[in-house]
Amino acid sequence: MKDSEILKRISQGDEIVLGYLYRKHYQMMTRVVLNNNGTEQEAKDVYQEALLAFWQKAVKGDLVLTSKISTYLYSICLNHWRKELDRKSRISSEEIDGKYYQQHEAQERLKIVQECIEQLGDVCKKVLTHYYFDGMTMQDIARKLNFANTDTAKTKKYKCKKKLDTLIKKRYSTEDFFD
Amino acid sequence: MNNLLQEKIDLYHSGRMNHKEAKLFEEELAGDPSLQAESNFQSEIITGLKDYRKAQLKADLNAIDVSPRWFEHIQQPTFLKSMGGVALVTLVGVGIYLVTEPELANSENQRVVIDAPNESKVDLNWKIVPAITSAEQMVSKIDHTLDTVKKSAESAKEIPPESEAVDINKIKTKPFSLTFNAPEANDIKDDEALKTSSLDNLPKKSDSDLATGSMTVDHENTKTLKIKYKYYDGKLFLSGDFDKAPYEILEINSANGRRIYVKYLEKFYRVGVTDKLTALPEVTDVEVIEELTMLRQNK
Repeated sequence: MKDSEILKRISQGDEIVLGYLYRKHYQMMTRVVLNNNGTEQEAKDVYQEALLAFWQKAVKGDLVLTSKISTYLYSICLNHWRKELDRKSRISSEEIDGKYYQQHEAQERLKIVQECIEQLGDVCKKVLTHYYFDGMTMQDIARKLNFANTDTAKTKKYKCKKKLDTLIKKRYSTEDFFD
Repeated sequence: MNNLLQEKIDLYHSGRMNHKEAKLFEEELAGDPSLQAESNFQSEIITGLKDYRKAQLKADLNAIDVSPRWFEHIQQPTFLKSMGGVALVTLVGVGIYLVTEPELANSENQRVVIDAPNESKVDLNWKIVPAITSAEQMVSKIDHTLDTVKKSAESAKEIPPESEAVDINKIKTKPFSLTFNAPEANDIKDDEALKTSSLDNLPKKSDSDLATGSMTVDHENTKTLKIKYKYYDGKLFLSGDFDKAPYEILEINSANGRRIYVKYLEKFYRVGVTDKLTALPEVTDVEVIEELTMLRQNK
């Protein structure tokens, strides 16, 4: 499959192409980390993060490739791993006592958000995640989820978001996260 | 909070504002604590949605089998190193074989030659086969053969009766066993001695030898008395005016190989191997001519 075709299909939100890319470049990309003191799991995480970053840009249409996709992915992997190594070295040297509590609270809140998302129906999950993570337009969401038109997608997104906000606010109140 | 502000917050956190719009919104946020609180809340929700989707996609990716296929193994450095090692060992092996091969070949060719007792003389059995060029010659040859057979039968009758009285049961046969004393390989010290043998002096085939085996003869009548020929693969083709004078073929088989001569118009010609129509070379050697004449007369 040519790069141009891959980009075209990703812009339409074709997740099969994501799997294809992942499979195709796995060995080469994970070697970036494995050859630089990384573990198999770290290599996998870095590659997945890099690939999803590429996916987000490609779906949004923000990506203007001046090189091959593999070259682009390789550079993202390399940057991700450098940042990760930098983060590791910082963690080992800095005092984390003060920040630990804040991080723990943020993780608790994030967990509540995740649980509330799980309570949504499949269509709501898809509409919201396509909009916020993939960066798809309402037109693309309408086409992908077989809605009648863009307005239907907009209405659906609004209602789903409202529902999620309500669910989370309710949980936050229960867990005493609101002041 | 009105819908316009909600939409602004949404656009800001979903990355759909341009740089200028984002700057203006950040200024607005700084001056409105309630808006900031709502923005933080929405940020957590949107981060949660992004994480949810990311986790979903990662789960899909983790389900993909990424173990290298056979052709991907080829690209692995370890595989390349292994294959390089195998190739190197193979090359070294082939190299050693090629270096030692001539010695092996020589050792195979160094057959043990046993000197056979040279008691019996080699009988040069000159066989003259005159060419049968006509039906009359064929009849005379058959008659000659029949006479020879009759003479042989008569001479058989003249065998003394004592020989007929020999009782075959009284013939004492000596039991014998055929023994062959092959030299031990360890006894062979001087290879040169083995190489030289009287059998090595046996006549060797040369390129000029005529083909052995049966020979077929064909001819073409022309108006010229200059005889031409071709001879290859045991086929002799003659071209000349054979209506005026028939030709004779003398075939001499000896230990030195086969020699073929053609007698035509009282002259002898030597046949060599050629696939081109060539003029027959006339035999000029007096001794050979005499020999051939004598052989023709004694046939």
